[in-house]
Amino acid sequence: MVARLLLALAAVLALTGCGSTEDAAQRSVAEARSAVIFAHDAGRLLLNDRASRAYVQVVFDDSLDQAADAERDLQGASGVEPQRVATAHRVVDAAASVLDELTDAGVGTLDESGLTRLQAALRELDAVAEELER
Amino acid sequence: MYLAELVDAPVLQAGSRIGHVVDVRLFVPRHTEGQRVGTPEVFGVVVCPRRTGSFLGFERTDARAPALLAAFFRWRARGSFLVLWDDLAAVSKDAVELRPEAMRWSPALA
Amino acid sequence: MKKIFAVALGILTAIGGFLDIGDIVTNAVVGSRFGWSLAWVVVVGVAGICVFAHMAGKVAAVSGRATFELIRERLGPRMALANLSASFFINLLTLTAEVGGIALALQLASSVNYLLWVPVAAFAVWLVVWRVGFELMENVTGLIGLLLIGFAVAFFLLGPDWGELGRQAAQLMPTQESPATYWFYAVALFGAALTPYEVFFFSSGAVEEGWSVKDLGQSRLNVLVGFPLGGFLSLAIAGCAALALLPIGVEVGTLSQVVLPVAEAGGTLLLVAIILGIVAATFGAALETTLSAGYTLAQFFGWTWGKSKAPAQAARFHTTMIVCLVIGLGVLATGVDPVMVTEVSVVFSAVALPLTYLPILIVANDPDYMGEHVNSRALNVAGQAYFGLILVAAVAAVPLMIVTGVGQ
Repeated sequence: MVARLLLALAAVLALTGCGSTEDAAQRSVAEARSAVIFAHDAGRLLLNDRASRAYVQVVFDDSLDQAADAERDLQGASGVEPQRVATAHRVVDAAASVLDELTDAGVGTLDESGLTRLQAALRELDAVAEELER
Repeated sequence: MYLAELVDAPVLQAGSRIGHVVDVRLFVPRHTEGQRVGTPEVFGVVVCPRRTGSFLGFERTDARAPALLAAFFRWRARGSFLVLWDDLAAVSKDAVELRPEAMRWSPALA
Repeated sequence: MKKIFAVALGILTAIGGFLDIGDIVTNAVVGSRFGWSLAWVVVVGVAGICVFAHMAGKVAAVSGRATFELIRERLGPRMALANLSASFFINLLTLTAEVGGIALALQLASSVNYLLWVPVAAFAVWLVVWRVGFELMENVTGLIGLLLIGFAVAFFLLGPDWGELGRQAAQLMPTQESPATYWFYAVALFGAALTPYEVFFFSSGAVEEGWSVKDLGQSRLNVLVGFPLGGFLSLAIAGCAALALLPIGVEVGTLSQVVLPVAEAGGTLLLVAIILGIVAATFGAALETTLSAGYTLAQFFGWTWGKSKAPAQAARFHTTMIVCLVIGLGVLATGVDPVMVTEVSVVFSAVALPLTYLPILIVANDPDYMGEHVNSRALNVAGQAYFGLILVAAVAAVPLMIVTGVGQ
């Protein structure tokens, strides 16, 4: 019984590691988009004094991790449809580097210009998401 | 030998396998003021044609609820019978051999 | 007056005790992806836990015996050992998820990495299990856990669009997700609502608190009022995500994202309340799963058990709990995402449900244990219907998990 459960658990963990390769480009863009939106919204709350700094810092940390995951997924998928992957790579990398800078600086230094940069990254991600949809 | 080792042992009669031991019935000889005392004695073994495991208490005739589960577990244990200890020709943990003339009693408990 | 207070306390702690990391994460993820279109699972699941917790409480109060003693007696040693191994393993997985949940919540409060909080959380759990009395422990974590009502406050502050939520609840299958994913999350929510530890903790707790037949009324009230209110909070968590996240097309993947709608709705104060509530709820659940690990093993092997016993008198019971906490700590120290552990744990809970629920259903009908308190016919109809549902969920869980790659 336990052996069977452990086996199933191992299979599941193995599966979650690779994920499906149906469309890595679209999935990565969606993941990066979600990371940027969470960071942007939390940053907005901080500037409006509606969330604690410690919490917003964690949201940024998590968003950065999520964007890094999206980048890693793309690297694993570079063999299939290189055109789409390259398009996705460009915007996902850009989003990740904005998040990286803002997170590293610490959310204590966040200001309107930081939010503007996140909005710009988001617009690019949205545009590419639409392009990949076609 | 432990009694627990008997459970699941194959049951043979006249050289062919007729089932597995699913339960061992004990009997406590003396009653004192409603309490059973004294050393339990082995009364017999319950044999089921399939390896179905425990009856989960549904061998008792008054265990009728919940109805669907009771029906399911009775159905799973169909064809089971009780053989008295004296009707066993040989006992080891690898197999239990019944005498050719062994009586097959109902496994139900009142 | 004292009586009313005791009744209120029982109900309030049942509400706080209903929610754990599995409920919080699963409901938020589901809300952000499916809105309220899986709300029916929460309703069905809560009714199910009411049916079985009521039976488990009744069995414990009437027979004075806890679940695993009965499992061993009724199933025989061999089948009971298989049952024990599987239940124990799932409980350990849940325990790991809860300790990870405490650490994640403390990270939200402090922005100190959760990995540094994991040993602190595990040590605190051990300390409470070792030193603090049963009722004090349950009441404090249950009452502070009530701060999770903040999710309901946030839900109303977000201005729910009832028409849209109603449409989601009535529509069985959203078009943008595959049926396999939908059913995978249905099973996960079901597993989160009916987590097996809740039942054996409930029955062992009843034995710890020395319930007898005259406490049956209180037990019934705690279950039938407290758990449904806990279910409402589950719906509020899903609702917050459905209102704030589903329309903009983002999915919840971390605990920080679970509480973002709360900050949006209620600002810093509500955010702090919710984080504190999550710490208390996961801490309470970590205590309950830790104790459940000790209970199951001790009850099966016939060791002395119970928080009321001094550790020296129940050495094996306490050792089991320490070992389990250390294992959970070790798993989390590998850096595996606690949210992932949580998602896997609720699905495996669904797999293990029949193992806990079947013996309870059988024993609750056994006149040798229950005398005149055997289940009524109506309760048996409900119990058997739920057992059928539990079997279906248990069989479907792992295939759905593999097909969907854990719901991705």
